[in-house]
Amino acid sequence: MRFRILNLRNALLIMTLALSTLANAATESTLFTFSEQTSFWPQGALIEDGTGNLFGTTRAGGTYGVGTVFELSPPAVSGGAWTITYLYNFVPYGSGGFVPVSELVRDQAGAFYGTVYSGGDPICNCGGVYKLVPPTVSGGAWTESMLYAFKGSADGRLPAAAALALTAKGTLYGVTVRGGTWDSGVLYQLTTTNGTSYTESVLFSFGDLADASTPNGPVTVDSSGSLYGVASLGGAFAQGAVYKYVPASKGHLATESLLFSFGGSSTTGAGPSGNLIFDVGGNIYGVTNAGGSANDYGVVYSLAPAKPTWTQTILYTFSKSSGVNPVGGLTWNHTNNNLYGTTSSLNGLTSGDGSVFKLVPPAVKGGAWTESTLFEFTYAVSGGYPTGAVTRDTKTGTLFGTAINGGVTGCDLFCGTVWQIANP
Amino acid sequence: MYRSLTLAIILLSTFAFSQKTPQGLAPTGTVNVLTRQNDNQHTAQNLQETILTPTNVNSGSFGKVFSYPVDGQVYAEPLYVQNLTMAHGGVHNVVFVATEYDSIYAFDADSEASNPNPLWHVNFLNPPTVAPVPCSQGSGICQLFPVVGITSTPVINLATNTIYAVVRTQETSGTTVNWVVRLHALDITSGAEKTGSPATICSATGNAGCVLGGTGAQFGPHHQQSRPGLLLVPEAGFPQGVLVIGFSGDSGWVLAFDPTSLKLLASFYTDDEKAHSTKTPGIPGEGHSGIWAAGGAVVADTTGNIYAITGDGFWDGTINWGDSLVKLVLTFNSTTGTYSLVPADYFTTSDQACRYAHGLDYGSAGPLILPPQGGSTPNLIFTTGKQVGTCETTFAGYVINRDNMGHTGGQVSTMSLPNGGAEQSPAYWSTGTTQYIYNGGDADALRAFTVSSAGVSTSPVLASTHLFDSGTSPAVSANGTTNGIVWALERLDDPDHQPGFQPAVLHAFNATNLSELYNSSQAASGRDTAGPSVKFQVPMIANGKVYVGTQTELDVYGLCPCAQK
Repeated sequence: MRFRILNLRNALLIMTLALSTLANAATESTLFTFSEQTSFWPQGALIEDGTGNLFGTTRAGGTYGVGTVFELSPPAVSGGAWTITYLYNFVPYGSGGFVPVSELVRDQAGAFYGTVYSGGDPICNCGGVYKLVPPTVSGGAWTESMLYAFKGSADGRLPAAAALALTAKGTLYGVTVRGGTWDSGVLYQLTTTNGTSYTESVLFSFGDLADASTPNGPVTVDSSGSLYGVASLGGAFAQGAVYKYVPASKGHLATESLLFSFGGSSTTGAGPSGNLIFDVGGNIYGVTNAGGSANDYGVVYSLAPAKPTWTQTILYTFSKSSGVNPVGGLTWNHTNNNLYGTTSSLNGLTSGDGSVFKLVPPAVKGGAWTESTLFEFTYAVSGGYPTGAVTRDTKTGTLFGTAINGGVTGCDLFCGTVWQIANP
Repeated sequence: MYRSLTLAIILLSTFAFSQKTPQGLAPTGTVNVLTRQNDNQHTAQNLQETILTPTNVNSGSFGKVFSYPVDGQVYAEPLYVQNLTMAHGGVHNVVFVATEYDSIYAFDADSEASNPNPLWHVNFLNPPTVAPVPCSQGSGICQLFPVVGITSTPVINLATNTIYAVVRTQETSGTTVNWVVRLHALDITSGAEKTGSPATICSATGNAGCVLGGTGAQFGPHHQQSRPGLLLVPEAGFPQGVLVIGFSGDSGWVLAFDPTSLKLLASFYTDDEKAHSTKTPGIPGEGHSGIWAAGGAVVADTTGNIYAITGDGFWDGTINWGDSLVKLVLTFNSTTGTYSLVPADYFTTSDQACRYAHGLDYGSAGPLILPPQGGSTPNLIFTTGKQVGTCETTFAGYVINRDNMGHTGGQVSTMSLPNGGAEQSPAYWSTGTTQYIYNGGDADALRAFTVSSAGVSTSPVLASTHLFDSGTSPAVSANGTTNGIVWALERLDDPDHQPGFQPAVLHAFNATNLSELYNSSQAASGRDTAGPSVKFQVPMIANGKVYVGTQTELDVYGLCPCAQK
């Protein structure tokens, strides 16, 4: 065997290149690990304010054991510990509801909105929409109120684990997974004139013959007021669909239509999940939790507007090496059109504890998207089974998110973490 | 001097297989379901089903017919009494539902449209002073989520029109928080408390406990959960039998009560807490021999012997009973005038030390007492435990001789199960010529073993094509030896991490070949979708309907017309 002796110059060059690569490598850090003594099961996506604070919910734990809204603040000195503050502890009795399931949205006044899965109406116990208002004096208590408690009949029941949509006028849009005319979920709105009292209206009941059923993703509102989302079941092939709802306008009744039904072939994906994002051309991007191959690991897809139905393109089909079964949807880097997301093998059918992935668009139109796995979760160390989309800091590009379980050995309640990935 | 009561004349034969029902009032049906899995042996069979057959149970003619909302998760199996004259008038077939939010409901079992409101509903909370117990209180119990109130299936005594339930609350007085476990006895016609009810089993603050039954051991209400279904067991000297309740938590416990006075007669615990008092249930090597078994850990034979199966824990064969099936005899001491639950016999797995070290409970699945067989060992119990592979390499099921339980490794035979089981209880049915045990282990098909005078088959003879990721506790409906249907609930959420909200799926299989007849995912547009699934749930079948408890509602299935479309 012949050895090549490197001279000093070459060695320095290689070292420089290596350090440069390391400096640019995606680096995961666990910002906070939840515990049995505090709260546990952080879920969904986080939201970030302008000063780097992160806000989210835990499904369980807190003072009363049935969930919290938390704020996670960055350290004053680089390398220090992040600080968690519980803004609200849900209460398992009274009118406020408990077991938060949705991600948060925030209005201009700093109030948060979300949904709870339990409590609310004392007979139905089928959840509702809450508002969390910041204190009027520094250090005071946040005030939670139930904006609407579902009754469980035509008005819907059991809100989806998906963020509400909030308009500038304060109108909230959301979906329930059950209730409505067909007990297959509703699209609802909450309107207000004063920010205190709200009126619920069911815009559409899902589940009529061949319609979408069990809506499970956030509602997206376009500039014309049309609403878009995904439903995990129903559609032409009973494996979910992307729907569009156009509100009534002068001379026109409100309409609901299916832009695309999953399951028409084995490659289309099945069980759409998470948010939808739109590009400037009106194309839609999303994920399915299942389908795509015989392994049922899910896909990333795009839908291009066309008539009579939209045209689907599969951007990526998940495999075990990339993580499987995405739940949380996609996040976009508007600068370079990269997409980010998480995978979560929640159904226990596969190995692995989830991942964070990046999809880079093709250099040439029509080419293949390139997937890279930014991070693979290790249950007992970094957490596992992330259920939300990633939150991207537009200034630094850093990604933030939650892992609903794991993070520490011996947590009997499968605690969960908040993590970040720098240089994604 | 001790006097065993178990061989005394059996005065309470009505507590044996499938309690019979007074005749005459019902327009249809002849069955009551008064205890978990239909009888004290947990055969989970209703042999008086004349409406549902393998022919008419399909998605074209069978589906969800109505549902009732409830205030919390329904881990307890619903119970059923036909032709019940209610205190406020009217005669109804009634289904009883207990929730983790500490409620008990009585619903009309036949029509939500005609009876949209509960016939009665009682709730034992009075917040904020009497509040539900968050699942995070206690040790490792958030697999029941979010609050833990009534978990165990109540039991009904038709002779006195009484339903018994164990209720858990968190009660605050000033700055003191007490954890309280009570036994309630309610009139099934009105929900009113019976005389002497409720009886406080234990109320204590922090990790303090109560000394129960003269054992000297501490029963800690902060951690103790009543998961196994309650039993009314025939015992001489007790006209209404003896009420038997199992617990898991810091230790497994079995408590025996006089159902008339609600007085504690005797107690038995499975772990003296001295060998490992600082350890935590749920962590390998730190188990406490809990008595839970997916809600079915305690069974009794027709002569009043009680059998409790335990999870992983320390074992010494005298006062510590990890990974064992223990036979308990209620025994009277005429000198002291007191009763005790005496461990008269036991079976312990030969791999007990391995199970303890790895947290692989033997008692994770409920035992099944089989009807008497011929042969040299006629009285058998079928049991399964967790996971093949780590400890036992080829089998996870054990058949035990009730008359001589064999102590360590002394099983009559073993059965092969691909993955063992974590959360299920089996069911039994006989065609008249072939006897089947139906078992649904983790990540496995529903499988049937045969039983005969030669024992239990070592391998399954039937299997469904459908796999149950989280296992399943089947129940059987049949008209005697014909029209057998095996019903099974599927839980789609990951059972080992956080609870989810996916719907329960009800499956029906032909009992003679395990071909699928129906599942609640088949009908278009979610017509038959059930509420979100829970653990431990067993479908209850009575008079042409199947009752399914979920996180949010009681779902009722039957012959269509169905609820939607």
